[in-house]
Amino acid sequence: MNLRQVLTNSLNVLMMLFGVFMSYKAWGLYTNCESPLVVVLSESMEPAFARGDILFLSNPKKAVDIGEICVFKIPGRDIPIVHRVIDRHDSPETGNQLLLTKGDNNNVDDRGIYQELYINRGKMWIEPKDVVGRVQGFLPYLGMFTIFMTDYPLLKYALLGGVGLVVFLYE
Amino acid sequence: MNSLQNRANAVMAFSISAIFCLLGAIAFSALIIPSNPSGAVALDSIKVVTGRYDRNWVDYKTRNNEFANTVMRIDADLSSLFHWNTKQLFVYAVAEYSTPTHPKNQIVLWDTIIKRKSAAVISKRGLNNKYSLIDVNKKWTDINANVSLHWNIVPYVGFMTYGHSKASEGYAFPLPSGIQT
Repeated sequence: MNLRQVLTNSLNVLMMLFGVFMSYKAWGLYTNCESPLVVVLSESMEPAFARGDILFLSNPKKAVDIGEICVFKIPGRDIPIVHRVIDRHDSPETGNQLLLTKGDNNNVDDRGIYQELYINRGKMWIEPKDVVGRVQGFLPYLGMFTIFMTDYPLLKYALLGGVGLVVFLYE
Repeated sequence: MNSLQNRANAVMAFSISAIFCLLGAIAFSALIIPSNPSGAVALDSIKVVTGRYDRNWVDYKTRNNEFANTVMRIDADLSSLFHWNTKQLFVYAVAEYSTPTHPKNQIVLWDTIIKRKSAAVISKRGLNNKYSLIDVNKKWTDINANVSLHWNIVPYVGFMTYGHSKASEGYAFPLPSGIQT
């Protein structure tokens, strides 16, 4: 292995990674979503979505319709929630709506989740500004890859080790 | 060693491309399958009661929030929506109305999940609404609502599609005392 070869290999790997990252962000711009691809982590939408499924999101400017599956974030909580809208009330000012959501597999609606943090006490609805995307498409099982990576950090290091091997040893 | 690497690389690249082409074909072909679903929801009776809590024990703070209890009948034939890419049908009955403060309101009264074509013909009588029917302003005076049946086709792979039936005629909500407005 010589320095030139190692540098060429690292350049190729970096170009590939950055190319993927740029396409992902460009897709995010096209769909108006920060993260147009998410992996389902909970079973609250079974049997439609199981853990490990990939969801394609978009965030069009039009009003949220009832029955749409929305990905939303409660202020103060990092993890977004993917549930279905079961109540919708539109205010006269365009863009403002009051929405209530519920997971298909849950017995109760999400008001308990909205009000979980003390700063959110009394929060009875979510609004379109809490919604980060709506589900347009679906790909089963392939997200288990990211779930394995988070559950077993050893796999992450093994993958990084594999990339390192390729960079240093590939001719 | 070299040729094993090359062979493994070629096999992986080809099979992954082939699998994704197949998934794409399934996803896009599902968009053009013709179907003729039909459905109708009708309300047999509406009763308005006042109360403080709803089914989920969410406290609405005062005692006189008006909850509407309805008895519905639902007829639908959604079997034509089942094709090779249908994982399940999420069917829900929606009440839609408008008020002076909020021009468009929609509330889900009842929902069900249909997983097989044989279960896709629905004929139900005497259904109570599964979820609380309460307006943002917590009163049902002077409101006319129509009901319709909506469905969401969840695919095995591909696009989520939605559809709905025609809306029924407007239903008026009685006062809590039982007087019909």
